[in-house]
Amino acid sequence: MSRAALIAHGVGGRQDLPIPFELAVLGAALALVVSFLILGLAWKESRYRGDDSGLPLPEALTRAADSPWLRWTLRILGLVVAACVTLAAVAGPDLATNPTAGVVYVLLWVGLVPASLLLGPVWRLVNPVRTVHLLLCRALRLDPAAGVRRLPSWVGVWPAAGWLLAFTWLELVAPDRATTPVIRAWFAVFVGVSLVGAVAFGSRWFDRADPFEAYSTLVGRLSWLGRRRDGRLVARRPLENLDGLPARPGLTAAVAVLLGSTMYDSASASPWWARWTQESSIGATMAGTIGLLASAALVYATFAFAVWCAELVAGIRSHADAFAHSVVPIAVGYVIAHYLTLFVLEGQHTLVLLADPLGTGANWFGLGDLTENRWLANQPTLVASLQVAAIVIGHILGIVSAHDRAVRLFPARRALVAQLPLLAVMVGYTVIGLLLLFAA
Amino acid sequence: MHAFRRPSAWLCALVPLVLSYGLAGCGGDSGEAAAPAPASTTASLSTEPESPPTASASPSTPVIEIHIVDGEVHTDADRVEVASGATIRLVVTSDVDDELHIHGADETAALVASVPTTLEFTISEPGTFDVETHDSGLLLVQLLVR
Repeated sequence: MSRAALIAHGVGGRQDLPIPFELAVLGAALALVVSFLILGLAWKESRYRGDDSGLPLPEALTRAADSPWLRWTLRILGLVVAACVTLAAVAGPDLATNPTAGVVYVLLWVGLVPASLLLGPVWRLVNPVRTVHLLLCRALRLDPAAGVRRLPSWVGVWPAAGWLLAFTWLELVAPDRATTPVIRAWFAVFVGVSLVGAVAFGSRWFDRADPFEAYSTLVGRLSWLGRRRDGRLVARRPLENLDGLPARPGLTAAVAVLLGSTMYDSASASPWWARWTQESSIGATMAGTIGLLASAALVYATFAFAVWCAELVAGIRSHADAFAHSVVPIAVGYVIAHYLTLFVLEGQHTLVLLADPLGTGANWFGLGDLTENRWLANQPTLVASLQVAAIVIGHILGIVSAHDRAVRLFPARRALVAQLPLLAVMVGYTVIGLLLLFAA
Repeated sequence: MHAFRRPSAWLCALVPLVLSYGLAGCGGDSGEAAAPAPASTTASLSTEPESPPTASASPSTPVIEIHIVDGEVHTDADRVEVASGATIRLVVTSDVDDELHIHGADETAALVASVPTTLEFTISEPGTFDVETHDSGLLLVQLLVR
């Protein structure tokens, strides 16, 4: 592939085939029926206890997970990999053989999802920017947790929502987004702002602003692995884990960006989107920016409106972000449906490219000897089925989460009716997701 | 009432249902496609201003004619269904010099202003492949290879 091929696209060559119409209809019908079954038959009193719940894992496991040697091994691993990729981004040739785009968009961004589903919020343990801040503080004999000022609580995770939007703009809209100068420029600004934020507000800034940590934390709440309030590692049901996600200000915006950006990515790959942007005079970048912002805003507005309606019916004002956690499984279902084959195929390809980051014919870590397995590309029926299953399962988990929260917050006699607006928007997201898989 | 105590039980029931639907519905097409290599393609290229390119095509070869005028793409369809491994013939006429590219299949051809360029190739791996121009950045058509 030439350099020009990089300019028009992000990473990845082929895309999945559209799913069969019957499969889309089956998925939508299942989602609808199961939603109403849950509403009618599920428990009437909240069952989830969030971070108080879970089956304690052996004490030794918690000790090992918290041990300094493991923490420092992970931090050093993060630093070493980041250094390799930075070297490729700065000194490697700006060709399709440069691994930078694949590492950032596939291994990091998409790879965070399976890693976090498996082990929880892992990115905060390897985040190289967090480690750089920690090392700087150690060198200057400062407390990394202490900043110049305290971050006001109303800020919540709004900075993370903003950075998530900024990253998805880079990934999906930015001109020449797969080339190294563009990726370098974005990360230069990001790392600079992150370090300034961490100095100003302490290492808590990473929890509240780093888009990769935020993503990993949200997805990690669907993991089987969690931590109890006393710090003990526990095994718990994913939805119980999700229930413990703090409803901080900005959470709705963060999940809206995740869901909306995936919707936009799907829609913008369609021929009708291409026709529209090619025939309009505003240019591809402006059209993409508007499309991405509109998708995220649409999810945010519809969900906020549904929560507002639910509270109106229930006669109770609750926290504005009290239901935002229930969008996480829907967003993760979308991400799996949309990026499964990209992750498997391009992920392998990126590993091979990493063997030779500088284009000198090197074979670092023996990665160049890997054989790429294209089996999944030849299983369109299996892929289509997995895509629909991911969307429908995400939808059902979202409905169950919202149901449990509703029967906890709302008075019993109104809790069921009050859920209808939430159910309606979730069915809407799912039908749109299936339509995009079918038509885009 | 207690049937929903464990939502995971529902999910366990659902996954095989969706999967079995898909496999039963059109299971035939995944069996033979066992090529482990990346989407292999074969191509030939010709730029012939004189002869009408459609005349020599055999009936089984999909011929896709595309005209690009003033940055607008004119084709019969946005998407064309192609059998995996079948020969595809693209005939592209652009009013400006450009480069034709089949994204994901690594096929490129130079486009000379107002001269029809014929690109023949096969794609042996299922998927959606974008046919596009590089300089003008236009999506011309999508190939749905099944």
